[in-house]
Amino acid sequence: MGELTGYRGASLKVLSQYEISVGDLILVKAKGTEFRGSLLPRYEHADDRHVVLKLDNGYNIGIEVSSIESIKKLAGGQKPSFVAPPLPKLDPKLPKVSILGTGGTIASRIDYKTGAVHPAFSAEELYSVIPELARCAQIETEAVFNIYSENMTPSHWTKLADACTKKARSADGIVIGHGTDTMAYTSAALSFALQGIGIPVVFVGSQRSTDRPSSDAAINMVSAVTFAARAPVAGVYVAMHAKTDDASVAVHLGTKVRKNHTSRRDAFESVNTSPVSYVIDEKIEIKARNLPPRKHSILESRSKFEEKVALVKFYPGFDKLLIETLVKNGSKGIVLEGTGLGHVSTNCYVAIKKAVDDGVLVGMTSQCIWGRVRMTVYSTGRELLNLGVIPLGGMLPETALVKMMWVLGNFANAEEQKKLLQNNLVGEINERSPLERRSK
Amino acid sequence: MMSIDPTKINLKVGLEIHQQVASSTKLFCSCSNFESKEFPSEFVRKLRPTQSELGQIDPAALFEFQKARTIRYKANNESACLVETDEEPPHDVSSDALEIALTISTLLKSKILDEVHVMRKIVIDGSNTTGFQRTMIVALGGELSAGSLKVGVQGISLEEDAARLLGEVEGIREYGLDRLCVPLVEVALAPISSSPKDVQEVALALGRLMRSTKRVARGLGTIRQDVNVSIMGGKVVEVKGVQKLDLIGKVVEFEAQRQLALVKISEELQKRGVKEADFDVEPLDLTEMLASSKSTVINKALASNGCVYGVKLKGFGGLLGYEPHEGIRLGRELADLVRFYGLGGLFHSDELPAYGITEGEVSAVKKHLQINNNDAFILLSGPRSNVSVAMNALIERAKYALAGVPAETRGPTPDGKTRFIRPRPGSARMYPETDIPPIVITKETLARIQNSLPQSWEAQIDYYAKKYQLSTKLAVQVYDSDYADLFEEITSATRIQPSFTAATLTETIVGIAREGFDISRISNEQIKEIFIKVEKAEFAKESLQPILESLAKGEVSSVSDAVSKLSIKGISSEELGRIISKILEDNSALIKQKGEGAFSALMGTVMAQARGRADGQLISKTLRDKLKEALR
Repeated sequence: MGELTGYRGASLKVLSQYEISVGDLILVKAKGTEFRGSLLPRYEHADDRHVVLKLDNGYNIGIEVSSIESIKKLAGGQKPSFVAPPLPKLDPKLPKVSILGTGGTIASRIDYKTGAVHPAFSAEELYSVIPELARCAQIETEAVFNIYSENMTPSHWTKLADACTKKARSADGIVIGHGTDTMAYTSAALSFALQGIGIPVVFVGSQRSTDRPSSDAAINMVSAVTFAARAPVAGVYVAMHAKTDDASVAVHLGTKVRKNHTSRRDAFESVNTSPVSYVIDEKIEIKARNLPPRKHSILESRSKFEEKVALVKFYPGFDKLLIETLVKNGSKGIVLEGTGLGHVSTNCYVAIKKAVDDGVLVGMTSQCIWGRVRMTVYSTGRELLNLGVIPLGGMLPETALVKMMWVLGNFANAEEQKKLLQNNLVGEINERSPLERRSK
Repeated sequence: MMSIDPTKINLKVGLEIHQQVASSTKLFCSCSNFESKEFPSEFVRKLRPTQSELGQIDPAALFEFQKARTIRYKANNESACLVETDEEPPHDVSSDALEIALTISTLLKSKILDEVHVMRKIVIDGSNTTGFQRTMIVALGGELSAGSLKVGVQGISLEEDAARLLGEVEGIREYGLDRLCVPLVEVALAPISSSPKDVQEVALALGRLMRSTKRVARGLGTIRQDVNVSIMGGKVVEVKGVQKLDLIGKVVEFEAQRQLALVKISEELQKRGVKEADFDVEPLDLTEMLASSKSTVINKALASNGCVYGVKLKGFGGLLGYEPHEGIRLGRELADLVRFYGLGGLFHSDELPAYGITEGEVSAVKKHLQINNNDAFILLSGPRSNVSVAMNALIERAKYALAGVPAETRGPTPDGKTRFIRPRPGSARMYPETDIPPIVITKETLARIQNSLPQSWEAQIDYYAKKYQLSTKLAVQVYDSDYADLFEEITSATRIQPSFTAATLTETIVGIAREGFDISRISNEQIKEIFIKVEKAEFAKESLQPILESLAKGEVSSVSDAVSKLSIKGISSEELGRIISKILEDNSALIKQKGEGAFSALMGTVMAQARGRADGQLISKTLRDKLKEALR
C-alpha cells in the first residue's frame, strides 16, 4: 500500500525512519518551532526535500526535510466516513438514458482531509450529486474505458461505437461523458460509425473540474440527459455551455463542432453552421430543420477506422519531406490543412503527385477553419485539383481526418472511397454558408 | 457609558486584519488593482455545493446556498480578465504580492514557511466566481509590539479579496469583479484580554507596521478588521468587516455588553427552571385563526399564499422585551435571525397587542398555544418554506438563550454596535489549489527581503517631521491619514507651508467630517486644485475651508463652482489699501477717540469685507500701517 504516496528520496527516508504514514497526526520540530498537523501525500513531480502537513485550521504547509529535528506521531490516521444523502424518488415512466463513461469525472466529491477528489459515477452517485437528473430520466451507467481524452485512439472510437450500438437496443438516448480535448474528434467518429441510429447520442464534458462549486459539469450533464431523453431527433451531438453564463447549453452537430478556446465554458462552437438546439432550464428548443427523427432501427454500425491517416498543416517553409515520409511509411490517406481557399506551395507538387500515384487519398481543408475550400479560383488550386487532391468543401480539418479514417476503414474500392469522402453523409459538409459567422 | 473590567468578565478579543496590498498586479493574474466605475459586461452563474457539503447538511449553509443560487457578475476589461470570470486557470502567484507578505511577516518576527501551498477555501455565497477563495499561509508565529503591549501573532496568510457586492436586483445578488483577486495580507493575532481601548491601540500599531512597508493600499475599504469576541469561556462571536479603526473599541465594548446581557438572560431562564427539553415544541399553524387580522404584515403574507405560525417559549415571559443593556433585547436578536431566512421580522408576546394584532387575537393565540403567565410566544409569517426553516432556526436560537452566547457571525453598524449576519459557518473546508504548484521560499528570497526591510514606523515619522518641519503630532496625523501621498504631492507642487497643508488635510477635513458632511465627495484632485489656486493667489488661504465645506455638502461639484457660489475673488493689495482707507475715513471719530486701541474694532469691519479675498496677515499689516499713518 502506498502509505507514503508521492514521497521519495530524502523525504521518504525521514518519514520511514519515524514510521509515519500519510494521514497520521504528527508533531514536527524544525527550526526551533513545532508544527502540528496530519501528514498529506506529496504531489507527483514535486521535489523530495519537503514534507506536507495539513494544519488544524485546514491550511497545508511544506516543511523542509533537512530542517526537521524530530517527528512525533500523536495519533493514527482516520478514514473519512461519507454518508450519501438519500436518493431522490425515481419515476418509472421517465425515458431511459444510458450514460457511458470514457474517463475523467462527470461528478465528484471532495475529501477535505486529504484534498482527494473521488469520482462519482454510479447511477446512485450521480443522482445524489446532481439531483435534477432524477426528474429528467431513469439513468444507468457504464464505464467503457477510463483514459484521458488526449490518449484516445481510433480503436477507442470503435469500442465506444460498438457499446452504443448495444445500448441503442434498449435505451431512449445515450449520453457519453468525455474529456473535452478530443471530444469533437470522437463525436465526428461516432457520427460516421453510427449512421442511421434511431436515438440521440449526446457527448458532454466540462471545462471546470467537478470538484468546484462553479463547475459547468452539472448543467451540461442535466441538459445532455434532457436532450437524450426527450429530443425528437436522432444522431450524434455535443452538448456544452452556449455562453459563459450558467443559463443555456448549446447542442452541436457531432461533425460540425470544434473546441475553439483552451479554457472557456463556451469553448465548443459550431463551425460554418449554428447549434442545432439549445437546452435552457431542462427545456429543449430545436433550431435546425431536417434533423433525422427518432425511429426504431436495428443498427449495423460500421465502426472500423484506418489509423494510417495523417492531418498535415501547411505553413511557409513547409518541408515536402513530411509528405514523402508519410507516403514511404505506408500512409493510406493525408488530409491537408492548406492556406486560404485550399492551397499549398508549388514545392509540394511532386510529393503530392507521388502520393496520389501510390494510391494515397489526399484531401484538402482550410486552416482558416471558417469558410469552405474552393480550389478553382487560383491557379495553385486548379493545379492541385489536377494532381488529384480532393477538395473537402466546408468540412472541419479534424472531421475530414476522422471521415477519411472511417472511409478507408470500411470501404475497399478506391472510387467509392473518393465519392463517399465528398458526399455529405451526416451533415459534415455544409451546402450553404451561413450569413453570420457565429450565432450565439 | 460604563466601562468594562476585561479580567473580571474574562474578555478575550482576537483580531484578524486584512490589508489590501499595493502590488503591481492582482494575485493570480496580470490585471491591475483598481476600482472600476462601470461594468460593460455581465453574466450569470450558479454555484452548487460540492458533495461534501451536501453530505453533511447544515441548514444555514444550505439556505444561504439556495438564496444565492443565481448570481450576476459584472466586469470591466480593465480590472478583470478570464481568471476573475473563472474561465481560465490562475496564473502564478504574483511575486510582488508574495514579497510584500513576506516583508510584513519578517517585521512581525513570524517564521516564514519553507514551502507555501495555495489552498481553496469553499465560499458559496457568490462572492467568488469559483465558489472558493484562494488563500495560502506564508508564516506562523511572531509578535507585535503595541506600546507596552506584546501580542502574539498566530499566522500570516496571503489571499485573494472577494468580489464587491453591488446590491441585489429582484432577488439576484450582483457582484463587481474589480475587487476579486486583489491580494490581501491577513494577520491573525492571538486573543488578548485587554480593554477595548488597548485592542484599538493594537490594531493601530499593526496598521502602522503594515503601512511602514509603503506597499499596502490606503483609503476606505483597503483594510478590514475581523474582531472575535468572547467572555467567560462563552462561544466566540465573530464581527466581520470593521472598516474603521476607531470603531474597534466601540464594537468590543458593545459586544462585551451584549454578551453580558445574554448571560444575564440565561441566568434568569435557569432561575425559572427552564430546561432543554422545554424546546421540543411543535410550532402551530395559526393561518386560519389570524386570517381576518388587521395586521398589515400578516395580511401581506396571506395575500401571497403564505402562512402564520406560532410557537410557545416556555418560561420566556417578559424576557423577549427585557432590555438588560441599552438596545439589547432577546426579541431583537431573534428578529435579526429570522431576517436571515428571508422574513421581514417577527411578533413576540412582550410587544403585543400592537401592530394591528388585537387583544382578542392575542388571547386566542395564547389559548391555542397554551401560554401560561411565565411563558412567551412568537409569531412568524411569510412564505411557507421560509417560515418553516426560520422557525426551526428560531427554536434552536431560543434554546441557546439558556446557555448564553451563541457562536455567530455579526457585522458592525456605523455607530459601533453589531447586528446578526448569519450563523457561524462550520469548520473551514479547504483543499489544495492543484492548478498552482507549491512555492518553495528560497534562501535568496529571504536574504533579499531581509536586506530591503523598511525603516520602522517611528523612524519614518522622525524623518517625515524633519523633512517637512512638522510637529511630531502633525506628522503622525498626516502619515496615518489617507492623505499621506496627497500631502507629499501638494508639498512638492506648491510653496505653501507644509504645516499648513498638513493641518488642512487632517484637522480641517476631519472637522468637516465631524460636522456630518460627506468628505468622500471631495476628490484628491480637487484638494490639490484648491492648494494650487491658493498658491497662485486666486483666493486666500482663508477660503480653503468654505470651499471644502461647500464641496462636502454637495452644494457644488467643482472648485470653480464653489469659488463663484461663495463669490470668492482675490483682491489686489492696492484694492485692499483702498478698502481700508475708506473704512478709516468712515470711522475717523472712533480713531480719534481710541487711537491705536481702535485696531481690533476696525479689523472686524475690514474682515467683513475682505475675508477670504486676501491673506489675513496682509490685511492686518495693511490696516496697522494705515492706522499709524492716520494717527500721525
